[in-house]
Amino acid sequence: MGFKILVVDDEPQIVRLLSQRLKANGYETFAANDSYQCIKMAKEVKPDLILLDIKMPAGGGIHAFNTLKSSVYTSTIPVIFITAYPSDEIKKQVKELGADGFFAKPFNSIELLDKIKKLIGE
Amino acid sequence: MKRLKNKGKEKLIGKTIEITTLRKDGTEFPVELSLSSWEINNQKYYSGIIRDITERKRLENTVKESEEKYRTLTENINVGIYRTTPSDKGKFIEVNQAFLNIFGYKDKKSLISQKVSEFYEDPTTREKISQKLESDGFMKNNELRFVKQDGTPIICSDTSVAVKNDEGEIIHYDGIIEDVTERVALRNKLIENEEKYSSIVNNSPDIIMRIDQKGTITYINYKYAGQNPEEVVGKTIYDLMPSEFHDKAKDSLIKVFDTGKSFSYENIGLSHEDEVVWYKNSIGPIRSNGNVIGATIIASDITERKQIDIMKNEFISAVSHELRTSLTIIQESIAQVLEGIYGDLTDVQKEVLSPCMEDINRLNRIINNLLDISKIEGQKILINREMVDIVKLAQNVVASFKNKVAAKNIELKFKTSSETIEVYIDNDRIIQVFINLIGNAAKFTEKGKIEVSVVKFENSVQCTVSDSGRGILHKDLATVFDRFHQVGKIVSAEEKGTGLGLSISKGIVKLHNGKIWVDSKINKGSQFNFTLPIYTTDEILLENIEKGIVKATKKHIKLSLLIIRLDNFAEIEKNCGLDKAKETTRKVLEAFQDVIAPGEFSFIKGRNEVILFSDITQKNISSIVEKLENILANFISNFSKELDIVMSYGYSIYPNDANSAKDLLQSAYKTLLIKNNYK
Repeated sequence: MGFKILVVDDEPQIVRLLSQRLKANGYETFAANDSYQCIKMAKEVKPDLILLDIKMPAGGGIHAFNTLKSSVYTSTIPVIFITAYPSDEIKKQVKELGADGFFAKPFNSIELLDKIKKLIGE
Repeated sequence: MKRLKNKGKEKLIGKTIEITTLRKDGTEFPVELSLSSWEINNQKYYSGIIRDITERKRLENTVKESEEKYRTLTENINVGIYRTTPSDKGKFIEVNQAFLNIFGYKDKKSLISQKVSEFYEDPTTREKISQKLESDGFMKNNELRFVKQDGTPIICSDTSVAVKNDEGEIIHYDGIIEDVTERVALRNKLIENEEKYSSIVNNSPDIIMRIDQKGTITYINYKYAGQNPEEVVGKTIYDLMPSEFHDKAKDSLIKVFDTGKSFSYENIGLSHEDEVVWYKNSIGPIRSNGNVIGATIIASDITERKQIDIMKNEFISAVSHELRTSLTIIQESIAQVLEGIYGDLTDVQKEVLSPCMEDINRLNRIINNLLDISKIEGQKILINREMVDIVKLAQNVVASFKNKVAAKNIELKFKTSSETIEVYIDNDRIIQVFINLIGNAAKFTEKGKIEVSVVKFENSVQCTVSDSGRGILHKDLATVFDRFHQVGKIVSAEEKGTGLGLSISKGIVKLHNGKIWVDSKINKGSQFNFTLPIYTTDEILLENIEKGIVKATKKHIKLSLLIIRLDNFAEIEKNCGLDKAKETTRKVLEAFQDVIAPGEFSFIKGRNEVILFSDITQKNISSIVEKLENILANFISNFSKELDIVMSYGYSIYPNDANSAKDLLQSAYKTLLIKNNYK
């Protein structure tokens, strides 16, 4: 049984493509389109890792991250942010939050897979 | 008497004459001689009275001398002196040489025949003056217009008095007169100038204010928010802006008084018609005897520019978000197809899709560069400076280009003057500069070599990327750092630049207070150089403490400057090696950051001193040190069972112990010398 990864992005094409690539690498994937769904899914599915977009409806990725970290059920799940807004401010904010990874869109999929492998294994 | 007789005594009869005669001892002396004659019986008799007048003569001479002295004075003085008859037209009785000079007369004779009234530009002036002198008896420093003998108009300052006799009748006017034509012209010019400048201030579209150290307004040129200047004077600049801008304004004001330099800040305020506007404030010092005694603020309305800026930034970030999202989808789709996730591809299919990846990369670079340039131009770029070994940094970038240049058969060399050169820079941004410069060199060089060098000078480090490529035309050299400037044609998408690289590099180097320039010869190659200042650790330390002080002053809080010294650094080095010893110092810093709030300023000085600037107070310093000890004891036991951590610490508190960064640091070092050992 492969590891479970929750892919969160409000752009369905991105969710589809990311899931496709992860599946091709042997991971089991789940999808969410906003922060609310992300938190709900995270509690239900208990994924081994979350790929989280930042600019999304219903509070955005930063809000989702804080909610995840404040709950005992989800606080230990590694989170990798993937954003199309890689400004200095966002980078600084993400660093201060203590996220496990940060990728700017368009991301390098090889590097992303490497990072996932390092965090949870293949 | 014989001599008298000879001279014809008859002529002297009845007269008194002064003659010099001889005393018995032969000395001369003056006498007064009166001769008279009478006849008795046709016989003429003479009688004479001789009076010794030595004393009288002496007195007379004294008076004459003093009169001479006075005359010389009046004749040589620069001020004209005159005496006239008191009538309406007036005649001159006496004038001095200066008077003649002022009015251009050669001698007194030609002047005496003139009427005094004719000396005035307006002859009726004389009557008015006569009336005034009759009623008041004097007239002081009256500036009047006169005419010189040759007709030239002049302005003189005239002071005169009416001189009366014992019966109280005016017998003449005495006065002094001075030519003030030039002085008046100069004064008028000054007045004119002042009017000119005050009209600039008064008609300026900008608000101009004078403020004191507390920010209290002592002058304003304009109505503000519908209030007249008198109502605004006495308020502070902080009363004129919302509280979120107070920090920036206060920061600038403190810096103006500290450094005597000019600064600027932006804030939202009200226009004179009470509308909400954006102001850009230029704040500069007013000095007196070298001290800053106040400041001027020129506030320009930049609302329009600000709105355009905000729109531009929103637009750029929205567009770049959309572009990045679409690009991600395109890139991932093509990549997944090419990787065969959806089945094998024919060679032709691969051939069609492969070049797309390069174009996607280029588009991504363009987006990143556009964002960078808009940040640099909007001065929104954050520079995170730290101590970086620029030799290692440059070497790494050079290494990353190895494969690329090897394919083109170009030699890529790296040279340095020192093994390591520590500079205080933003690591990622300087890497970006090297990538841009080496990337360009690789692009424009077909054969030969590319040489990258890093050379240390006393106060700076100079980095150079030179190539043997096609070079830049002389006419293009001046614009090579401009936006969207590309020299020559480049064919493949991979090599196609964005035209922004050099412009971004220039922005980054400037942000580091460095210089960037290019030397080039067509068909010989180009040499791009940039310098970065080398700051001493003390300069960096003091700069950061200074920043902390400004922050503390604004927030009205106290700050502690802490120095922790790892006393047995040498012992750790001896037992475990230099790397482990350095790691221990770093651990001291990290442990401190863990115990107190992160994000405070911290610094490693030398090899074994950690300096911290934070709002922790004296009271909990000891408890912090205790926590620190536990962390470090654990840490050291990882690589040595025998070793302990031996530390000293010293601290000073701002503003209690000192007001300046330098004094604060010294004060902390003084307490460090009293060794506090925790073991």
